[in-house]
Amino acid sequence: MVDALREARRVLTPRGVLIDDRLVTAPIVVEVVIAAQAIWAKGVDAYSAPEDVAAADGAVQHALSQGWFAFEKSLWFDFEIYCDTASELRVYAEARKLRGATIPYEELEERRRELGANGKTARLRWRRPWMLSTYRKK
Amino acid sequence: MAIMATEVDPAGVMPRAILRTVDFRNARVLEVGAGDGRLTFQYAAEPRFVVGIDTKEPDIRSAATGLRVDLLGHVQFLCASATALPFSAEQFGIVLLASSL
Repeated sequence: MVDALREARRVLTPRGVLIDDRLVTAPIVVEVVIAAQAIWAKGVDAYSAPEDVAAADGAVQHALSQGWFAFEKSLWFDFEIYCDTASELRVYAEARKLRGATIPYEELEERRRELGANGKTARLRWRRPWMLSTYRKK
Repeated sequence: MAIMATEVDPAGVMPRAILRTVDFRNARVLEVGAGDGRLTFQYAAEPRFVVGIDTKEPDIRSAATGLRVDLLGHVQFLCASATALPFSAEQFGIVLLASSL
């Protein structure tokens, strides 16, 4: 990771901008939604490889301490994924290295079916906390 | 029930956040971790030129194949590693690390 930051700095023009766009270690929110409106939500203890997040944070700190970049700003937002069913959500989650995840798939599917009764289309929404930080080359 | 399958960031929150953070106009952009170009295609109309790289060759091939006509000559995809970038120094005004740290 430090090598990647060193390379990024090398190819940046003087005063060029580095954007670090990645997920953060924070609880994920899973919801049942009808027409994009959340009608049931639950925070779950599911993190994407927290050791990777910590290593990335460490690499950035190293780059800053070496004077390669100056921090400018950070912006947080939720990255949203919509799925039709809990099994579809499981496929997506498992492909993304969710280790030690405790996503209650059975409960989610039950809620989705229950709340989607009466002809309404209930889907699942997964909100992953994301961070976008910018750094200026020094 | 209508089957819509998995939709990732349908509202385009991420590209909007990226474009709001830095002025991309007239910039030469390197996107590290471009994958299949899903994110690249959503902001690529703004900068002057974008190079997307990834170590996963099938993804990069898919990105190159999926390049829209209006982005031809404006966006390029290469299979390359973030730790040994195949570019000379000071080529890009913006480097975007897309989930690649």
